[in-house]
Amino acid sequence: MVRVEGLTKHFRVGNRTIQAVGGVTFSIPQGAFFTLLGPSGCGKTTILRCIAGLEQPDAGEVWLDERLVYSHSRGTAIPPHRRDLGVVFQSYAIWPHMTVYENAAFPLEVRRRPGGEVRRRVREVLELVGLDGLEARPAPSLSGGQQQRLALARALVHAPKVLLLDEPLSNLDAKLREQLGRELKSIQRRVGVTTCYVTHDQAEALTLSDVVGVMTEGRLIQTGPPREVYAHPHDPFVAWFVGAANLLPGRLETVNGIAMVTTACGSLRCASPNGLSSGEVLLCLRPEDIKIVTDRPVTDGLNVWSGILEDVVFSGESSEAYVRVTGTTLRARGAGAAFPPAGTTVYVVFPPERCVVVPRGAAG
Amino acid sequence: MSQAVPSRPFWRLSPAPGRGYSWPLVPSLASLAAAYLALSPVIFLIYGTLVGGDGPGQSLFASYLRAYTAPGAVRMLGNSVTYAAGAAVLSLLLGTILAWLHERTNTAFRGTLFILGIVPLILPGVLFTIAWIFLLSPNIGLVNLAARTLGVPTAPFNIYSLGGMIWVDGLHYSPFAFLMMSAAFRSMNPALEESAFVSGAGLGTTVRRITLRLMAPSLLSVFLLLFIRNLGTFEVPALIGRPAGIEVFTAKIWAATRRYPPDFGLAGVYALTLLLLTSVGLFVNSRLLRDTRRYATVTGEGFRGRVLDLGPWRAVTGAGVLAYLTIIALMPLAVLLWNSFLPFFMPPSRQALAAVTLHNYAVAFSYPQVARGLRNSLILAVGTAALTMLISASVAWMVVRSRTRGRWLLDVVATFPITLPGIVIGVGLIWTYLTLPVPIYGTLWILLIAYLTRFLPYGIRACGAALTQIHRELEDAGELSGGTWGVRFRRIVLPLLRPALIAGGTYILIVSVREFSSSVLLWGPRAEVLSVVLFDLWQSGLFQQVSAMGSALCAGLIVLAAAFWWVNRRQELNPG
Repeated sequence: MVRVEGLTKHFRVGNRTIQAVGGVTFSIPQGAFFTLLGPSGCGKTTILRCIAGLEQPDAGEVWLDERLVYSHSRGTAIPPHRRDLGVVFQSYAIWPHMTVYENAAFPLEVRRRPGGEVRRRVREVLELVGLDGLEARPAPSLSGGQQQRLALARALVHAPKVLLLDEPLSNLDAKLREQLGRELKSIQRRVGVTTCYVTHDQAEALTLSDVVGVMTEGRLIQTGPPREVYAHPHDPFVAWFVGAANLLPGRLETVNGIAMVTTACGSLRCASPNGLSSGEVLLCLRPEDIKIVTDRPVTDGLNVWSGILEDVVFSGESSEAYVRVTGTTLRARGAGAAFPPAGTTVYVVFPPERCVVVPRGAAG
Repeated sequence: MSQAVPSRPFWRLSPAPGRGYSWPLVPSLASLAAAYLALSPVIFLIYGTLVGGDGPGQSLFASYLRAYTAPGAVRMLGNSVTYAAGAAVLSLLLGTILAWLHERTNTAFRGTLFILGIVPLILPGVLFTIAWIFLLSPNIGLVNLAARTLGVPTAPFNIYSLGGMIWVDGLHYSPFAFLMMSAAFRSMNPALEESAFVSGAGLGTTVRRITLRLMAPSLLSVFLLLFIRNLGTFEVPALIGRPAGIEVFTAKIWAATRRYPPDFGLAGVYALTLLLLTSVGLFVNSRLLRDTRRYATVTGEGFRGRVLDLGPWRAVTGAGVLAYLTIIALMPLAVLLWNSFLPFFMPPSRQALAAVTLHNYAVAFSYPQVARGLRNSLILAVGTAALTMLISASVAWMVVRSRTRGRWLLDVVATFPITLPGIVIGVGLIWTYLTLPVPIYGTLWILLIAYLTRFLPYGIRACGAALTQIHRELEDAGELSGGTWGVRFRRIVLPLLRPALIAGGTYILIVSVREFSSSVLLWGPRAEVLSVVLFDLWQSGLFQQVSAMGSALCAGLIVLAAAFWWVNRRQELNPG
């Protein structure tokens, strides 16, 4: 397992000091796939490098597998080569002067493992990532996807307790990214290695991870399983960054146990008020949760607004509709060519259990 | 559009549709001039060694026979190679360690390396060498005198040895190795080293198995460049090697031209041999660079290297950096300055301080040849800088912009003299203007031609690089507005190139004032230049006056270099 406590890191840029990470705490259970998700410059890579020992935090502690590897207050700083890690870098960092075999065997050789074991382990791990048969190839002749596989093989060959991956899929094209992502997940499950993954791609984070930690401006703002983070964001940033969302400012009131949010477009009943009962909030409405119909639905009139379909954008497997409701444009998503033509007057239906209340927070 | 215009050889006139002849005369003439300057010395050098020499009626290879059967020829070859390789190794060793400290660690005094560290590249080789003689000569060397006062019975250092030659030249060019290796470190992805660390390799294993292996092509390439440059260097062999009886090619070439009667055939053969050696080095180097491309890593951008925290070693390496800067910049400059104020050579003491005088400066500048040298050097430097940049801009335009066929050949030919040692150009030009009926040998004109030949390639490279940055459409727009070539060049190309022209011109001013190894062969009475006058005064034993004149020259060059740096920086801050 991995435990990070109160990790803080500053960088000096010229004569200014910039805080890259400000007091981040989290832990990754044994064998879990944990992802740090955030926009570029949010400090996620810095955290990964601090875990690896490639950067020294200014405060905090790092524990790897019940072993304290860094503590600012206790003056502990185990160098990277004694931390027993596997790391996959964004640029793969495959050594160009070595063959595929030599790259993969390096971690075992510097650990002075016996020759028979080295050969057996390298064969196993190259088979695992699907590079068997390419042992003698010079590394620079590999394609991008193959280099990525080799980087993974090299990171796993010595059976480390912890695997760190820094945006390993970002240099690949879309199709390959999807395929290698799935393979990575299945390899991680088979090997059972505790994994910390860094990405700015929310789709990647949601599909791969057991637990996602969303970061912005050096802080970890929400941690949880992908479904929970997606369905119940605790913070406007999380709602905005993870998936697409219509965010409407409004006022929450609870009457007789029924939570209602009043926005500029009207009131909506919410089944999941996030533990809140009243106050200024944001209403988070996912495009795929918004239903659009042409006939007024037969309900009690709650959670139905009327509006004008402004525009419909077709993008293959789905369509997006932009509906104007009293001054605000809402975005809805439906399958194929599901929407009536633009200009139609429509009714927008919001299922109460999909109307998510997000606290406005200090930032508003 | 570009396919619609048929390409044509650059020597053929061709009418532009509807506008009569639009043949850009200026760049064509400039290209012809550049090609002539580049080719004539080598052609006449080969011609001269075969036909000239002993006068009419000699056999074709007489000069070659004489050169290679001369006593000591083999030893000279050995000396040359040992000296060039030894100095290259020293430069490379110092430069690589410093580059690593600078790019990859948080050593103390990191920032000063780039500023003070390149001072030796500004100083003329004659002065750097003289300064080190003042420091390490067995009789008057300050370091040896200091050792004696500390109780060492005999002088511990003797600069008049092969080791001494290697020491001085190795130090002098270590900043070059530092700059080249810094660039190499910057272009290497630090993740390659980091992945070794996290794979379980310590610093030693990582340096040995990853860093050094990946740097091997760069190391070898920089070594070869230094080796080639050292083979062609003249200052150290003339000032230290000859008194010590250690002959190398360059000093031998010079000696052959200065004896009476001068043996230009012998000089030519040795110059050609030198050229052959450097060409082999350059060929190997170009092959090497092609191989390094195989090593290109995923991303090609420069890398902000991880800064290795040296901890308590920071102070130790910082002390090393300070010691290095003291040795390469402070000590040579200080000893020159110290000497320039004394009536005769004295180690620092209270008596010496009492004797401090400006007399040497007054005497030095009262010599007519110093005044002439100053004037000539200034005329030559300004003339070379202006002409070089003008010709360079035109030739670069021809290479980069024109659609004529054969422009790659023009590029190859015009930049070829970059490979020629100064002394080879010198011998080549002697042969050229002794053969051609153009009586300029021994005048400022031949010096101007030599400087242009030496520095045009740098100007062409700089202008070519700048031109490729300027979008072709800017010029096409001018053409569509109806501007002729001259108007477009004056109104669009030259103003856009101005930053490159100013920076390049300043650089050429500096190197022209420093130029020595061609000048020493080509100068004549009343056509002296500063570096040659310094050398001459030194040969006459006027050490104090040399120091005074050298100190003044150093001050001037440092001011020029600071101006160069300032111009460059301003352009980086507000490009365009």
